[in-house]
Amino acid sequence: MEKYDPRDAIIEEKFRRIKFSVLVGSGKGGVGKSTIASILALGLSRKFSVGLLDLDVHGPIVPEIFGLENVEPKESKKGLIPPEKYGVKVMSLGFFTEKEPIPMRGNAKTDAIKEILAITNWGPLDFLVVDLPPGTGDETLTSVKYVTNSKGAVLVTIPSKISLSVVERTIRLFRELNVPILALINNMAYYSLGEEKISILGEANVEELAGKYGIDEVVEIPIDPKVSKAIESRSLELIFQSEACAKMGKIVEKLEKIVERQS
Amino acid sequence: MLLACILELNIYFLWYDVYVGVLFVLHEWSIAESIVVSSAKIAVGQGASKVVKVYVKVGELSQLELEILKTAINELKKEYDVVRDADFVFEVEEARFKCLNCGYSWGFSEVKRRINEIFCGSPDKECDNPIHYVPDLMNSFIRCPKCGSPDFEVVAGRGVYIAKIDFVK
Repeated sequence: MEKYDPRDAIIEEKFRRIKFSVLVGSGKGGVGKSTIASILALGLSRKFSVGLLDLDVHGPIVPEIFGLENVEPKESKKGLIPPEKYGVKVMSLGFFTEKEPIPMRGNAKTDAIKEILAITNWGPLDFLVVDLPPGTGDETLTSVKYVTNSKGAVLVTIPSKISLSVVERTIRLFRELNVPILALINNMAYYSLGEEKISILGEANVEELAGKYGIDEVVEIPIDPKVSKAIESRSLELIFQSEACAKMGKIVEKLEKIVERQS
Repeated sequence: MLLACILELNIYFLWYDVYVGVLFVLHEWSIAESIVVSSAKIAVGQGASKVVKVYVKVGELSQLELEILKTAINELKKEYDVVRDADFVFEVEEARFKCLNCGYSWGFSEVKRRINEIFCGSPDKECDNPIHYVPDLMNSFIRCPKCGSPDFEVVAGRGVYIAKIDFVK
């Protein structure tokens, strides 16, 4: 008889209580996935119960974005209770490692992700936003496999040809894994100087890439100093006043409709 | 005066035990739940009407308190008909590590005191630590005892798995 991993069944059990999961990924590093995932979770939290799961095993930064870096998850008989701030329940490997490096190889990464999924007691949620790490390796594949409820992906790029080339591979992978792509985010698309929009990081055609793969939602997010100021001043509520947050409203509405249809 | 001191010390140790106990107890309950739910699901999936025995291997690295795990399982199994009368048998699997830099192989006992020192302030004191929850975080805190490299792997005794289920159809 083969040996059985008891985490598999309990992960499935936990995801039964979560209506919809949004995988925020890219393939490319440094495009702002964690920030986008955080803004999306905050946007959803105004109306829904939301969890934000940071699966970047090597560089988890969501606790820092939320100003929760010195907080430890509390225990319960049903697992660890994610710390909550601004109405978002947050879980991350960062809660366990402080500033230590996390030098993990393939199998250990898969195990660590499964462990986090198995021991977190989210309770019932409308949405779980999952901040995926860069790349299309173990972490992404494990996340797609074990996030067992209804799910969709929001993919993030910056407007450079190099970024689009990496993101296109990720789009193709998610299609093969049967994860619907709900939106493509063109992050740091421009900087507003008065009425003028200045493209700093490139002018690659994100709309064209979206069209090629039938992705019907493209959201342009500008370089917005309000976002970094909100994070660095540890006043995340200021994000609600940012243009970035307003633009993410389209995705929030889309997700709202998905959950309404499910109900 | 002496009696008062002894009483005070006893109360202190009692509180200490309760405190340490609470820290360790709850995680065992959540692991117990995953074992019970999995056993029931696997058995039902294989057409079982009643599970007789479940063999569980517990990796030393998970630092689980077996007595608490057993108590929790005996309580939780009552909620699932197919496993409610099952006997859960535990075997601790010794943790082994292998350095991918120098090839040195070692056991948990060789680094346990270092873990206590990092998290509990003393090599002789045991307490809650992140490795108890996510064993794969060993590489964040422990280094190869021979060459000091963080690049090592857990070759045995990492976590919990169900090795065998005896059931009747």
